Amino acid sequence: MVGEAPTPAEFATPQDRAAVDAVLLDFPRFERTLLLPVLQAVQAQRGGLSKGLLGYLCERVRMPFAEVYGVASFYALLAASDHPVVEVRLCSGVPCILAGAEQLAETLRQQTSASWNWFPCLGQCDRAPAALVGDEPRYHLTTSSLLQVVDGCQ
Amino acid sequence: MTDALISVTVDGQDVRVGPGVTLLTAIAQAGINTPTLCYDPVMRPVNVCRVCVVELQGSRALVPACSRIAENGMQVLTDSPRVRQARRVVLELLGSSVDTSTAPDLRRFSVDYEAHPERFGDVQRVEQPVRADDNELYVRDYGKCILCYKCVQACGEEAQFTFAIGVAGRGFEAHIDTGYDAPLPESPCVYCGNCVAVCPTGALMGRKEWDLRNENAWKPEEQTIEDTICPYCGVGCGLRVTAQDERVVKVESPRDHPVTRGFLCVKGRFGYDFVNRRP
Amino acid sequence: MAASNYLLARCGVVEPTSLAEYASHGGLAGLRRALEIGPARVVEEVTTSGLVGRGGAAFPTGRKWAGLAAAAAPKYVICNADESEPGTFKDRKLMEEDPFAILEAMVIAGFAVGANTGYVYIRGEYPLATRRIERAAAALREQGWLGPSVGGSGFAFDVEVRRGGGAYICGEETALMNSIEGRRGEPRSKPPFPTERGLFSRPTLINNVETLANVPLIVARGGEWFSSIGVPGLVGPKLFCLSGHVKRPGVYEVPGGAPLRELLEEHAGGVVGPDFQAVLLGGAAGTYVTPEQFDTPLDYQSLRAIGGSIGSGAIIAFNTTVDIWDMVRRFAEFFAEESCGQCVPCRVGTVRQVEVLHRLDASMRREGDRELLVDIGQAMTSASICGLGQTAAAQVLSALDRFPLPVGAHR
Repeated sequence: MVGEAPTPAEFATPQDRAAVDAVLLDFPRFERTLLLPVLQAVQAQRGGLSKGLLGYLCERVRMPFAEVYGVASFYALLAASDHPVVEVRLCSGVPCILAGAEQLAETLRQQTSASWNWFPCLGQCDRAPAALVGDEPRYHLTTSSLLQVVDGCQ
Repeated sequence: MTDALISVTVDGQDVRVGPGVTLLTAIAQAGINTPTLCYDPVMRPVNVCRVCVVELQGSRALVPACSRIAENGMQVLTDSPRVRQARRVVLELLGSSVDTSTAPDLRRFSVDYEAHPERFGDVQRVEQPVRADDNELYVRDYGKCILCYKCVQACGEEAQFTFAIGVAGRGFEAHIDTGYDAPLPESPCVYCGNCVAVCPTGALMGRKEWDLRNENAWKPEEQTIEDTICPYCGVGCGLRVTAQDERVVKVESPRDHPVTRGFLCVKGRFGYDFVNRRP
Repeated sequence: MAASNYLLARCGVVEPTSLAEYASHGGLAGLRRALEIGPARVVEEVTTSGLVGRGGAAFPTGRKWAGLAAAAAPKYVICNADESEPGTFKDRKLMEEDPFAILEAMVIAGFAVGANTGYVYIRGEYPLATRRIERAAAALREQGWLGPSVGGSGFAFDVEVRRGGGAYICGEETALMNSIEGRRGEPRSKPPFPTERGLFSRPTLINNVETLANVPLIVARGGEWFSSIGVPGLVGPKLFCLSGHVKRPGVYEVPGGAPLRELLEEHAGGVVGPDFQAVLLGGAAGTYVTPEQFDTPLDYQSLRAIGGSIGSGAIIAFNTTVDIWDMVRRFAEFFAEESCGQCVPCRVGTVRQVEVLHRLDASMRREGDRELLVDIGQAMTSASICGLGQTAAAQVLSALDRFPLPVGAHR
């Protein structure tokens, strides 16, 4: 039984391998402490952290697949977590809700095709309502400014 | 190195222990039982179940007896209202979220502490499909998993160094995973079953036992249990063999075995079919 | 109105990427003096100052530094910039608008305690703060204020910036360390404490951004001077974050002990809407304060008397139109989402809390629901591994204490 089934790395595409190889050039002496920065860099290149991608990474850095998946799936901004990678992460924090975040959710639902999800407090409570659009926080959002930002990214 | 004993007070009783022992040891020395779920005498304590918590004078929060090192002068209460309340609620929280039908210790503690998990009503439970068919030797039913981490420890640095499983996700969604829920054959699992050996709830169970239980044919009252030595290799691990209807149905190793500490390999733990074949 | 303009003096005034402007506005004075007076005197000044941690735990900073100074090398300094407590954004402001101050403080800290390597762990949702800190570090390196010989002193110190991956729990110091180590951000049990065994199992000094922001001032002007600001229950200048139903949300600096009302009415311009109903003080892990308590001075002693605490410095204001139990439920949902999942009281307790709060509405509430919330809350507070679980029930228990349950019949 052992050794007959594919390993996760065998699911990696050539693009997956190229991305991992490129990122690891920036981390010539990999140690465990660099795992999170490496995962962040790989995701930035590929937009996700698929099974094959993580599998190949594990081979390159000689870490167990279950272990690396355990780390990657913990962090909400990483693609392996329960939080999907979406274009708009709308802040669900209470100050943002008080400032009208739920109306913005309606706007996103009805007037855009952007992928979006709720996300916990972004720390922009003095400039509510706010959202992470890609990697950048946008704040003091109104229906029109949100639509502008989202359209700008489509 | 000094041999000086440390003096701690447990429920008013003076106890002398050597340096570097845990409160759990000190409490046991006072003749008091402490409920534990995630504690294993052979593995490093992870103190995640919180059922062993005790009151320590000077500490705002209750402290886990399994991992807290005894220091001279400590005053510990193991049965105060605060301790009983915390233990009861921990047991209720567990009982309300997972299937405890094959978790004898958890059920026994729940009776001791008058835990009533049904008081929460119809609430979110750990829902996981039973993983029975990706291999022939053991079954993973994470609907029974209390996240005690013992399987991860046994597969990892505390016994096997195989690292086939880990904790994944976060919060209530945290669960044991091979990584993207890969079937066991895609993982480094070597089917030693040491994870099964340490699991306190039957979330990990040998296939033979699982099949028999499903058929209502698992009958402890008719079983014999005998200690013997594994026939396979020169290590000579101690085996504890459970037989029913003149067939081997389960193999373990005594957890207090001085050499193996309860850990076996795939041959010793699962290689008993040949014994059951009769001409 | 009590004035204080030390921490925010350069914010919005200097170009945050310019070391020259930083230096001409008092920057580097602390580090220069530190190098003159030596590590032991620096620790003395910080101790004399009476500064306590600004991240929420309020531990005496000087005592932490002294502990580190006595520990064996190698040691590390960490700036906890994972600010994620709902309603909190003071560290964001400091890092975005005065990044050099944080780094100067870290160099001083490293010098004082004998650490050569620092980490700045910034939450992943603060990309601008990250860029500003990285740029500031590069500029300091260029001028020799970071590197093999800080200011020509022979003392080596440099920093590495790490970005969080989106996890509130990584603001907990031991979870942060696990995250830097490439692990899940799960807190460790204490003891041992970071000063004894922290990052990579070495003695580690970890301080909040705002705590560090006070350090250059203390070293430049003296701990004695610092201790004369504020009140015994909260020495020094303090940043508060006002948000919610106030006219001017923002970060405001006052001396410790300023009354809550002053921040709400004078700094933040008063209520948006008919009237204040309550504020949540300290973040989601905090407690509710109602208008008859608004004259309470914001210091630890005075707040303890009303069952509250400074917490993260967050003050979220609610006017009388707000359904307060809806807010309580949302804050509880935050904790259920952010629990790391290690320990039973928090992993399951945070979920059970939310479930009861969902049905607290009069039509669905059951007999015994109040008692159930108290029971769950007490177990979480007593038996959780870390501060998240230990404080996740605080606002629920506070609400039960201060607000009537939703009106109506219950089964």
